Amino acid sequence: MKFNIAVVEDDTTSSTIIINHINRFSKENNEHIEIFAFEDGDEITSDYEAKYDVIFLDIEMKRLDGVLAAKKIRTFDKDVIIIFITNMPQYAIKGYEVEALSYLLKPVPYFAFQQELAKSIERIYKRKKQYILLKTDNGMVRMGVSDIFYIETMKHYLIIHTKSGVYKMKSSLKKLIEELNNSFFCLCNSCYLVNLDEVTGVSGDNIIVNGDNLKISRPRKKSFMEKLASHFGGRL
Amino acid sequence: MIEPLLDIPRIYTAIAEWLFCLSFIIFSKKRLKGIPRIIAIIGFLGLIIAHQYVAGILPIAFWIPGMLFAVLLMLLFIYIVADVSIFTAGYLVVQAFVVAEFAASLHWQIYYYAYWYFDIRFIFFSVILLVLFYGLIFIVIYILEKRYRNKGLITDIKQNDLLTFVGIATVIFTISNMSFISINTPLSGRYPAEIFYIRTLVDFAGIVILYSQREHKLVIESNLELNQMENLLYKQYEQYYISQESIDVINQKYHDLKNQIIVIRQEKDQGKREQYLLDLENDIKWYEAQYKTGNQVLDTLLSSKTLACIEKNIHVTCIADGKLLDFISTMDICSIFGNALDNAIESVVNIKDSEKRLIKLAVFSQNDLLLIRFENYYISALSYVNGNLSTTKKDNRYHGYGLKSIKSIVEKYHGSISINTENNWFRLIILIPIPKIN
Repeated sequence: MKFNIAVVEDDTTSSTIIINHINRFSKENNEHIEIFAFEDGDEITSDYEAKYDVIFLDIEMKRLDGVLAAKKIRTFDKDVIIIFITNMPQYAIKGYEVEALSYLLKPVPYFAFQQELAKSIERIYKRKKQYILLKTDNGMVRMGVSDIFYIETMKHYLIIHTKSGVYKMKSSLKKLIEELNNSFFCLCNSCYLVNLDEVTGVSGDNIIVNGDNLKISRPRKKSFMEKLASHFGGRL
Repeated sequence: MIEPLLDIPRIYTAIAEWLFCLSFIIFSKKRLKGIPRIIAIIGFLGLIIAHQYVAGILPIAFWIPGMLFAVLLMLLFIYIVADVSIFTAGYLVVQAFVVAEFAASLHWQIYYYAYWYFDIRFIFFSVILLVLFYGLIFIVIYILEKRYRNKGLITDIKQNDLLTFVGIATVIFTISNMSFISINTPLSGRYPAEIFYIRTLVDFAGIVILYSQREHKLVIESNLELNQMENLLYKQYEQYYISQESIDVINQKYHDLKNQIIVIRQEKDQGKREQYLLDLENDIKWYEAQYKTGNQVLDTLLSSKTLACIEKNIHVTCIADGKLLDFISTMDICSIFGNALDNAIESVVNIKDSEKRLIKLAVFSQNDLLLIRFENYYISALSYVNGNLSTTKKDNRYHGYGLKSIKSIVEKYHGSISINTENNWFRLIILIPIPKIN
């Protein structure tokens, strides 16, 4: 797999350091990486192409600062991993507004850099889109796993709630769990298999998925909540 | 030596064992409720009586296994009826057993005395005495247990507590029954009255020892709590002190700044003036760099922890939406972040390569869920125990201590925590549902 990495940095010293780090990382880990260098925030945002996997984005830039650039990028591209670079320690970076939960301090040391990049690449591998085939009553449907909200069992049928509607098929949860083979799915009680990504809230003994209240059974509650925490906490 | 009335009737022993188990679990949390509970309680009375009856028929060689089985039955009784850990159940059984021994012994001693010395020999006399003595002892235990319940002490029994108790009980039981096995030991009595008296007395001493152990534990635990409170207060004071110091520094800077402005105003050379202003800007940049997460408590706490980290060459990065923490009390924020960061600092501070002393903190939301994530790099002698990864003992202990208090706070907010260690990163994730404001 090839990775596209952008470096947006107006300070050439810092920019060189980062590019050297990327090259070193690429050699050490045997990853094929193409680097795109930009000298200011506005350079990457104008004619933005959603082709990058990771963007290293300096915060303090003259024309368009990193935080504003990130906001612009997010309007085009929800998936790219943004990692800020800054020379101001303790500065309150509102990274959570642009789904960036870590940053690196200048001058960027290789160890911290390598840790961040390795984690990002692992993340990219993990979120590759996965599909399953559903034999529904109305024929075969190819379904993106991430488009499933949750799956309900009813007698010998499975009811699959997805972003493109509700499907019914004859099968068992056990079979489907094997087929999904995916850690993003978890049982909240014996008849609901839930896509953890789609859980929007917890209220009392219910979880909220796509606006529906699903009951968490008492014996599963502890492990379900732990899995949920670990799932969302794994965000970058 | 064989004399009538030497042995306590088995049914009396059975009643004592059952009754005093019951006396110790009256205030415990119920595992079974309603009718199943009543059935279990009555069922165990039947089982214990049946066991005593069988044990009475068996040859004397089975005396010790019989005793052990009786204890096992009592353990099951307590464990099934009360919602306690197995250690706590064991702890309660030991006490119930010694008290039952004492009650049976005392009752029989008095009965024996009345029988031989006052010639009171009608059959129901022993039953009347039984109701009287067992009842009295039951009431005393009831009052004592109620007192312990009010102080909240039966919940946290550890393996060590149980071992101490079992040890004491074994010694008590051995000494008190010595005379029944052989009269040729220095600890044996020679006459039944004497033998009974020794047994009652030793059992009584046993009860006193066990209760004094409990008192001791109570004192230790309340001291611990006091210490923790003091610690917390001291920490808050420390933070206040640090904030105070920063204010002093800022006041100092204010005076410097005022003087510099005077100099700049008098400077006629445009270039020099520009340079002065640039220097000034660089100077104050560091004072802008305070945490501004949107939550004051978190800001103060982070500032003080970061100061400690700068000193120790630890790199902390933090991305936090402090506004999300509005529904969590000041005390709880201090405790969660203080403990978790202290753990992280303690874990990274010993890493030789200071580049690897990394701590990362994130506070963010995912729809209506608040997530707080602490991460730190670690290098420790990881060891495999039965195929499972386990960290060094030292690591477990300090992480364990702070984590316990974090966990109890998070549970208060109906949240949960998850811990994982992956690629040399220790990761603590807290998830709390954000309460809806109606």
